[in-house]
Amino acid sequence: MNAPLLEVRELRKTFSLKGNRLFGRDAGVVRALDDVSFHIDKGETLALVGESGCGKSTLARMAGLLTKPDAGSVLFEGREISSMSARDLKPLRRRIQIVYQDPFASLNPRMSVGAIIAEPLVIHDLGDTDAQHRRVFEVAEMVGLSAADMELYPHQFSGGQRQRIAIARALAPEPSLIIADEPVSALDVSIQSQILNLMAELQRRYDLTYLFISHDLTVVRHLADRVAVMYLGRIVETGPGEELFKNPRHPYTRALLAAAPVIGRGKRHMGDTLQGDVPSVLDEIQGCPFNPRCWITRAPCFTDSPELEPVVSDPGHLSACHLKDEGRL
Amino acid sequence: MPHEAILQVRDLTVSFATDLGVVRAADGVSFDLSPGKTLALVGESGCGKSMTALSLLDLLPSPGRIESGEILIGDKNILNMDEAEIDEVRGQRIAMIFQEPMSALNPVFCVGDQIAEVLRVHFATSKTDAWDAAVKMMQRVGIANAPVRAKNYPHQLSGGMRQRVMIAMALICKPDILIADEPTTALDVTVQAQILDLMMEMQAELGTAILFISHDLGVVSEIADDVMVMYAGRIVERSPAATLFGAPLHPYTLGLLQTLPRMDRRVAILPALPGSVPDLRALPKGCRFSDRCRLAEDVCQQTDPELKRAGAGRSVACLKVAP
Repeated sequence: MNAPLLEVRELRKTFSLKGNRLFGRDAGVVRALDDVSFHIDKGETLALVGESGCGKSTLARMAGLLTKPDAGSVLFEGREISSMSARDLKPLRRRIQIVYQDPFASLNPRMSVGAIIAEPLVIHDLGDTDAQHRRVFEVAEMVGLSAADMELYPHQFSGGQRQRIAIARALAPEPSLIIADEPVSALDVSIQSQILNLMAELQRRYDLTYLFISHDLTVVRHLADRVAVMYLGRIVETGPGEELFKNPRHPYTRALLAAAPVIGRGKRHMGDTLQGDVPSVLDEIQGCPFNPRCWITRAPCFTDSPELEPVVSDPGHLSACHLKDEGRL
Repeated sequence: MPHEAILQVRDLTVSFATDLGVVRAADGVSFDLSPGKTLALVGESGCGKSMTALSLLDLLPSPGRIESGEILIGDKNILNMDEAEIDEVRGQRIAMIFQEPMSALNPVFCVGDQIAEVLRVHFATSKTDAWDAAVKMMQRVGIANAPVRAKNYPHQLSGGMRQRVMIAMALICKPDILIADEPTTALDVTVQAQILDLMMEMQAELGTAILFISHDLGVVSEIADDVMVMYAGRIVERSPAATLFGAPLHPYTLGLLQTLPRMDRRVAILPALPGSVPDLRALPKGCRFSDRCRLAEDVCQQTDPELKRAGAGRSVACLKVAP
């Protein structure tokens, strides 16, 4: 069996908050990622979902080789890369490209669109100037931009068009993995579907692998083959999208699904809304991190933190809940 | 039943003078708000929904101005009021909450003071009475440990908590009308659900009429009694929520609904709405949606459709659907 394209094992990352400098004390430690493992096979789309502060963007940065983990490993095509030197990493960076949420912030306003798309080719020294030119026009066409657009600057484009530019830039060096961090969240509804369709088509045509980060469950449902749900720096549930959405085995996933607005269901019924806020990542929670908001807790939930383990009836589906195999969930 | 309406907007036109000519952000907008009901105004960015909302409180940013129309509260036109009269309407009759509570709250005052200030300004309530009322209001909007929380500054509260504070501030004078401009857009989905619940609860208790402005059709479907769809400064469809989402009439509404990814079905390709929202400085001739419309014919490029009645409580501005 082939190694997954990307695999992360037991990743941990903490950020310490600077407190009173004079006395050298830290104000606290944020556990951004706590024992996170997942893999992505070639050609598939894995979506990371969760609310703000759950660690999904930190995880994306780690997969994109922009942040080093404190502990754990990142494997690309079976090779450990988290401890590689910057020089050894460079050729891998070409193969992992990132598309960000806000196309107003991710494009340099002083560079022409052509230069923006060419930049990864220049950095990785791919081909001579002529070849780079050809590649720029090629990817521009792939994302639906015209040759004339290459002379223009980002401010001359709408949000949707800018996201096409960002995708073209990511595609230019022929990556294997594209990490897309909320790529459609800043876009209008009618533009959002154009970009989602483009991403799906590019994946089919060029056998791309996506790590797709989103807070929007409908978008995730649409695009993802597999889904990982994050809460407070951990993956609490993961499995094939179809199964996970139909038969969630973690109460947090269930609550997220219940909270997502559904068109045509009519006016909302109150009462089944999850109460409370996401706790601060600074708080130490004994037992399961979800227990302050959970409505089906039992004694072990307050003492032991559940591991992410396969659901008995469906081994491809993992949940970190003591009650995952009970019908009540 | 227009006599029941608490607010009537008639032919409201909002314009901005720009270097490239006059742009109409809202063009001939009319609607009524009824007590205890939620009317949603939906549309994509730049369609004019926020400018419509701001004009109801005479809060248009410069160089915006209300070119024509009437905004009637009772039998009084807000547009003919002097500054003192409008100040009485703001906060007391019509209150507003915004998308980003962090930028709508003052960072250097504790939230209790900010809620109390509303009472002190409008009713000259004493400082201690206003503080007590503010704490009570915070309890009512579901803030636990309100006496302590009231002394917190905005940055010490979570996003959901801040939006609760905004709602407390908006409702403390028991206004007849609440304008909510994307009130849950900046919130996480589980917190969004809590805020929507709270708005419905407060509405049931106080009989407030809500104008709910949003780009999110899912949220609108869950909270609205009636929906208006806005496109390029015009209302293109108005309908009770159930019929709008069940059987949309305007091709734009239909296109939006079809293009959304959904939880209950998965398709390979989303039926996309081609093109993008037109630039208000260069609107297509005739119907403003004609360049993106699947049904468009020659007549659509020549004639600008009016909003016409199309069944019970419904109207639509489309020559193909309601000629």
